[in-house]
Amino acid sequence: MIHLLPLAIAIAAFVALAVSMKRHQRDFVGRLLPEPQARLARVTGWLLLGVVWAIDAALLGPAMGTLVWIGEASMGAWLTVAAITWKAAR
Amino acid sequence: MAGRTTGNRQGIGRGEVAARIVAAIPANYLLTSLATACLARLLWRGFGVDPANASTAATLTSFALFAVLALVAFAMRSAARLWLWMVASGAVLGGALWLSLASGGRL
Amino acid sequence: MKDGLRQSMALLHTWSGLLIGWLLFAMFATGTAAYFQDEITRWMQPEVTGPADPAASAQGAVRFLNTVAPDAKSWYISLPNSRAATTQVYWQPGGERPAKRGETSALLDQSGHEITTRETRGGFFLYRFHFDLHYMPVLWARYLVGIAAMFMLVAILSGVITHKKIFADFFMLRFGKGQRSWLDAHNVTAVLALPFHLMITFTGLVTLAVMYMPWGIAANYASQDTFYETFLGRSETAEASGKTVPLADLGTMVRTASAQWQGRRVGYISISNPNDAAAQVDMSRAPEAAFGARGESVTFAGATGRMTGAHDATGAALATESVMIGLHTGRFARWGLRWLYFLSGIGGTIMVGSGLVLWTVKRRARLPDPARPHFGFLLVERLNIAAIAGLATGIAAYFLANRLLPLEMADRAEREIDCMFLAWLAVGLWGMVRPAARAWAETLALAGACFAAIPVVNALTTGRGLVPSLLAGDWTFAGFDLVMLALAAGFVLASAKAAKARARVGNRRAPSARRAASS
Repeated sequence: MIHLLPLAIAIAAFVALAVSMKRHQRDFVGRLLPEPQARLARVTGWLLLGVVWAIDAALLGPAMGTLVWIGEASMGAWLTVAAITWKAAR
Repeated sequence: MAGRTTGNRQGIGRGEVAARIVAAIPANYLLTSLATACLARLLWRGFGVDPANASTAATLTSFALFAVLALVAFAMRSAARLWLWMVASGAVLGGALWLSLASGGRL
Repeated sequence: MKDGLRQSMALLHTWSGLLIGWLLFAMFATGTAAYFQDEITRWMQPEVTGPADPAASAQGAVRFLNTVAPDAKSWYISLPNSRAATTQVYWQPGGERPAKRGETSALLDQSGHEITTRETRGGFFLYRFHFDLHYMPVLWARYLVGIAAMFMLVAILSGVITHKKIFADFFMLRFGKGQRSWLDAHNVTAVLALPFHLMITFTGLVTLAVMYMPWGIAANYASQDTFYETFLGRSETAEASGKTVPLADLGTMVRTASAQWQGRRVGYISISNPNDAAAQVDMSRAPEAAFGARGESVTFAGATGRMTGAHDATGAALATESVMIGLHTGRFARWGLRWLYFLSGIGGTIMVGSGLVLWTVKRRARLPDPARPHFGFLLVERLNIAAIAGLATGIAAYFLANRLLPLEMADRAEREIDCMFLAWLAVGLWGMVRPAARAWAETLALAGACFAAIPVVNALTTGRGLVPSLLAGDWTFAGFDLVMLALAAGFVLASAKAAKARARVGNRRAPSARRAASS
């Protein structure tokens, strides 16, 4: 259960990172974003990943928190890939 | 990607590939072993780390060192230069280890 | 220069990956299963139920050992962890008569009764296979596995150098696009769990570090034993006094040790000279109880039960090593993290498998005559089928054999393992004689069917099928069956994809074949 909130934030983070990449902008926004907006998305993505780490570290301590963070980030990225793939296929 | 590269590198013959493989695996192991032993000695005798921790720290480092050296063996442009470097550093490390063992001894 | 580096790294990545890919695939697959080795063991011993208390298990083990080997030189007791129910005991018989290995070990339940029905090595076998392999000397196996792990480390690093671009656009899998899809699958599984892959490979090397790189210790110690004594704190074993004194209550000692470690569980007990006045009891902390796999130990005088010593390895490097081993084995992981480990492991298995397939997919397009590929290509293609579909079918056969072999069969545990390798071999041979594309579809379907059969056979042969387990809230059994069904679905899907790809390749090839025939 404790993974749910961090996982949700991790997904948001990776969606933001994907939006910051040219190749994925078509799938999410339907057009290319100007550079300032892309940069904003990139910064938001990394910040959100930082937030996930902070939550894990606060709950589980820095060592275990970092490990769980890596796992959650992987999971979040997987789910993001699944969503993008599914969206692009339609 | 990988398969096509051979065409661009006509200059690389079997001999050179063999030289790099020998450098990347057996010679690399020898060099890494020497470096690991030297590091274990240096940490213990030089920096006063207790011998168990010194040996363990050196052992943990050795895998990263081996992997990086294996990459270097294929990344360096000239196989001759690569071998020169390896032999030279091997000689230095071997000499240092011999001196350290002769002067200090083991537990 | 930059291009040269990329090219040489690409070559290194391709060939180091291919050379040990098949072994790595088996290591990744069985190692991933090993994250649930205790659950697999419980599923393979359906007669054993309930959790086990460490103190009670220790007392039960002593009762058993006192009946079978009261005069042994030493006893070894491996207590159940929080996910397991059985105690493993070994003993070194007293006197000169040599004993066979099978006669000096036993698997016990909490009350010390030997478990004799459905003899199995359970999930423990899959765990051991991932670094000891089978049918070969353990020493050779571990060197092979170490070489494979080092190649893997080199393949990861060279892969990252070669394909830096994948970090820019890795968020998509494109299905049904042939080579592009395989490349996507390889990249996505590699990148998304890159920290896991690096961690698991490096820490895997660390678990057997002393074997692969003994020179760090040899530089400071004339004998490895001296090194081990300093950091494990094993004191010298006293000679037996010859005076018989029964062992003090082990349950009390287990509780004392646990209290000494803030309630952490005891994992392993070794008792030298049991039932002698000079008996000595060494206990070490369970690996699951903390991040570091190696931990505290205490020593008791066996006759009185008084604690005589406590030890905890100290120092940054030793602690780092202990944590690295802990990270690799993941014994401390609770459910959420355990599943993340498992899924990352599956990702790694797919990464290795897709890399192997990618090698053939890339080269097929460039074959001078796709209908008659050269020997090297054929070999890789066939070995891929054997390694991927064959191992999957083998593991399914291992589980099926556990339910289907006669319960009282002699050497039953060994026969279960034989079933795994026979199924593996059979699929490998099948892949050799059939056309490759057809063989992929067929063997993957077979693997899927075998996994699907597991819950069915389980429901028919035991009272702990999927429905009763779900109703009883028995998540170990229900979870196992559900994972088998998920694997079955995955393999059937893969088989369908392979069949479709075959149809596409067939259509493309047909005109050229006709041209060749008419000319």
